[in-house]
Amino acid sequence: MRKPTWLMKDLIDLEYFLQRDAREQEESAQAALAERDREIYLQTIRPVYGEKGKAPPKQIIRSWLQARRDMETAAREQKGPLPGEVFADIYRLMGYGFLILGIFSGGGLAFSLLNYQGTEPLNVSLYLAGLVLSQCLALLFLIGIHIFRRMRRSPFRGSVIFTLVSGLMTRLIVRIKQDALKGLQGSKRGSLEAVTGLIRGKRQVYGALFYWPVFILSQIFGVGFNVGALAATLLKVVGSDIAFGWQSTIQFSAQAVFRLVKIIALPWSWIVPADVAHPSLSQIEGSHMVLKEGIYHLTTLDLVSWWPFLALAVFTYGLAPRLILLGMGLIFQRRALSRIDLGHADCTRLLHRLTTPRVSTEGRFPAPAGSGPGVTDAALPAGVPSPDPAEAMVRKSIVALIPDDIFESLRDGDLESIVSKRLGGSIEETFRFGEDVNGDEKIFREISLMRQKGVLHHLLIVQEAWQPPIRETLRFIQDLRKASGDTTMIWVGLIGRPRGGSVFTAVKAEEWKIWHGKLTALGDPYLGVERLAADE
Amino acid sequence: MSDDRIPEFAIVGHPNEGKSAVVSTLAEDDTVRVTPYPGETVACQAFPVIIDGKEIIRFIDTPGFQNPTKTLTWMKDYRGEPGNILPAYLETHAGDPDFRDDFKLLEPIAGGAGVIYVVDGSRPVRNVDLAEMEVLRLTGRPRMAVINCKEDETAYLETWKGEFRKNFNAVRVFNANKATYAERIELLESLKGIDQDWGPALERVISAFKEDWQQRNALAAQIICDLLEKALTYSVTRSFTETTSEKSLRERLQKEYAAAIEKIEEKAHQKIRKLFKHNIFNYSLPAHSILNENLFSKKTWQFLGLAPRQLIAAAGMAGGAAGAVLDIAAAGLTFGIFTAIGGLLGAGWMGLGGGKRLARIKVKGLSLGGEQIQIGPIENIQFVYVLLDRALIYYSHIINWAHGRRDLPVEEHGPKGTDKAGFTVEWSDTNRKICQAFYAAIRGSDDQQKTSSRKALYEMLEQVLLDISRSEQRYGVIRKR
Repeated sequence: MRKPTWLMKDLIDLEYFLQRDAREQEESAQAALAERDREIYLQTIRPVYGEKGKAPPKQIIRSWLQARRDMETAAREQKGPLPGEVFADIYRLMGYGFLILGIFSGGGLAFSLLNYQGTEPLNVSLYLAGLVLSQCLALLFLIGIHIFRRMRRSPFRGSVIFTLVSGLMTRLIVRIKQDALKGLQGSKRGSLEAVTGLIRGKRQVYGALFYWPVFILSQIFGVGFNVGALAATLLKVVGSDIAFGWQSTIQFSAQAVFRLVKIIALPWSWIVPADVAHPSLSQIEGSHMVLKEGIYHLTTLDLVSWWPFLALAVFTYGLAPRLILLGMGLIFQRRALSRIDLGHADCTRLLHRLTTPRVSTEGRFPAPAGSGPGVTDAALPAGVPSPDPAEAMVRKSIVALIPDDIFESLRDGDLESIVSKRLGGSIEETFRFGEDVNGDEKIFREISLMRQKGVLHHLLIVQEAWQPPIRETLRFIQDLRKASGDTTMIWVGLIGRPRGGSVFTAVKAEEWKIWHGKLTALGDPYLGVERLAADE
Repeated sequence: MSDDRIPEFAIVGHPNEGKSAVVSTLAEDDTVRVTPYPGETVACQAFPVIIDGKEIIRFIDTPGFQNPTKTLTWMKDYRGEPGNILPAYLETHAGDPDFRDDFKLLEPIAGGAGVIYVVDGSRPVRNVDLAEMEVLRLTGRPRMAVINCKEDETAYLETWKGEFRKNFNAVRVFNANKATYAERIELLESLKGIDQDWGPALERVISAFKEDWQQRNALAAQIICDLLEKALTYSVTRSFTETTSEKSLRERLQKEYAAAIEKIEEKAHQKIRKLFKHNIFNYSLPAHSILNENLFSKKTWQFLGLAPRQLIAAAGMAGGAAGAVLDIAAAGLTFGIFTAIGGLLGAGWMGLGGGKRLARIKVKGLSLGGEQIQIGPIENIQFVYVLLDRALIYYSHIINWAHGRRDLPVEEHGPKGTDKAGFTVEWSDTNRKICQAFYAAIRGSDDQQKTSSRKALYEMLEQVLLDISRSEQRYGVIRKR
């Protein structure tokens, strides 16, 4: 199976679907989602990857995305394309737009610089400053920032420029979309807006990924600009006669100017014939303007000798670097896309939904991974196959943190079966927290140690949902994040009020809403919320 | 404590335990936002009790504890002068955004405020609660615990009480059914117990509250008397010529008449509202209240007023215009029958033979040709009781801030076997006699009788209003059938 490629529009659609699924907060809706996703997995994903037994999570998600798209397209005929498609369309439009804009601005600038009335030759240095020097400075600035960032090792996401540029782009997308696609349905506009906003909020997951589209767009503009400038210059040269000269108040010798010109022409002088590459010393002397002497003594040949040099300078210092940067941008974007991790909470939850059998037999749960072949097909309802190696692969070991308040009321095995059912993992170790501050700090140290040893996969904090999310509790979660590293999944497992000796009771809808809201506000993409009720 | 120092009480507790509900009861201020979302209160808000322009005591609504365990740990580690523990805590945590709420909560206590600690008694006791209690104990301030049961669960109540006995000077179970007046007086009474120094000030507040309440009740009783007088004597008269048909005019006039009576009632209700809820502009009735029905709707007459048997007796006692007795008795019976067979009644009083049974309709000739038609006054004594019931139910809704609470059980009232949900159906014969005498007098022409019967009604209503404000029962709330 060929490794599927990820495009920007795929990510956008993925986030769009995940976001839509996350909006379903009700238990029954969640169950329906689980059923749908499991169906997708059994129908389309397992037949392809299942036999080999090693389906990387990213490929599973990619196949799921395709399946969701197909389902959606069938149902969406009337509603227009998905946000990813809209993004791709708009991005393509923007690409053309930037190219044309570049051509016009480059051409316009060149035309105005080459405005020759015949009274005096055009000043070469003005042309060079406007079309070459300015671009060289911009390039140097870009390289400088890049080096600076490399030295500081600061990622793009922290930089002001990235924030500005990506913000600008999002706004541009929204603006352009609203103006250009005014006729389209509002719902589509809304969804795209929501997704771009979401992706901006998910920098921790996607990092610099969304920097590249902006980078590529600006390179397209740069290419357009230089093409426009070159075309305008050539048009002017072909279509009219233009005299070039140089002048200076400080008395440079022609020799100095010649040296400078030779240096500038270095990149192409070895490939282009010398008389084309740059004007010769005598030609430079011949095109030296001294305004009080007038220009009539200057010879036409000297005055026209400059134009190939100027055009080559624009090509070498303007167009070529932009082309190279454009190529680099495309390559880096592809590389960044192929490297995305997709390990954040929403994806983890999705993977779990996909790879965990739906068990509807009450009172019996699939045994946690590692308990061996204890589960037989007979224990599962018809139509639900037994866990296969691919499923076993994504089952993670979980370190559970149980509050002191309910630790004693936990019955043996209850937590294990719930965790296996709800999170698809098995309990590796259990900590009792909330006895006192010192005890909690000890837990953080142990977890930090586990991470250093590389044995920490998932964390689960059991939390009574009826207790309001106070600062202290949220700080505990944040401290746990510090101890466990940036990308360890932390689950907050919510339970209701103890009833009839059981602690794993249903969570009230409004309490779920409050907790979900508070935890989402922490802005931690690797923090998930899940209900831990035994049965609905 | 020096005399010029105003006693302060800080209402503290875990977020979302009903602190603001308790403050709202104590301060009689419905503007306190009470929502199911924790952390609604972000700043301290003072509710002063001002008597004759002088502030006597002050309640302070505070944000909930956000770091109980950390605060307790800090206090346990504190090694300074014990009496200085709160100022030291505040100094250490000033400006720390994490401890903003805890800081604001403990600030008034450090300033000498007494502590009213509110918990939701329908949930289990947790470590954070124990930490909070311990923190409050370490402050050394006088403290009372108020258990506010947000749900019907009572399994944890004893555990809570047990914990409170260890740490608090007084414990009270907050009764949301009795909020505002009765519960406020009782809360204040219990506050006296936590520190003797506050006794005199609280005593003044309590007696001022009582007097103020009596005064407002007296005004309310007057408003209700006025309402009855006006509604019972109201009539409309209109001339008509041959060009206008009598039938259509009569129908129009009947509608006009009903609207006018409704308007009179609405104005009276608004006056009552202003007496008790001066700071709420958009007061809305409870969802299940019978008052959501019109005065002349079928349901109103089905659920309010006297029961059929009482009504026949009332009609006999009231006397009044000749011939009315029969009509009234018939109307009463008709109501009874229709109620019994499940309310097949048409649309309100119009269905009762176009108001013939309810209001007098007279057609009299005029000297200059043409004729006059007069509608009213009311001929049905049940109308007195319906009006009274509606006014009293309105009063009982208005005085309870907790009207909007979903957790209060919806109960049905009235003697068994009837649908009646009002007050008058439960009244004694004495009360009913006063009403009937008033009904008869107000429609007669004896001014002395009018005055004396009105006085009797007023005095009776004053007592009735006081009884309602002390009662835990909720009237006028009906279940959907």
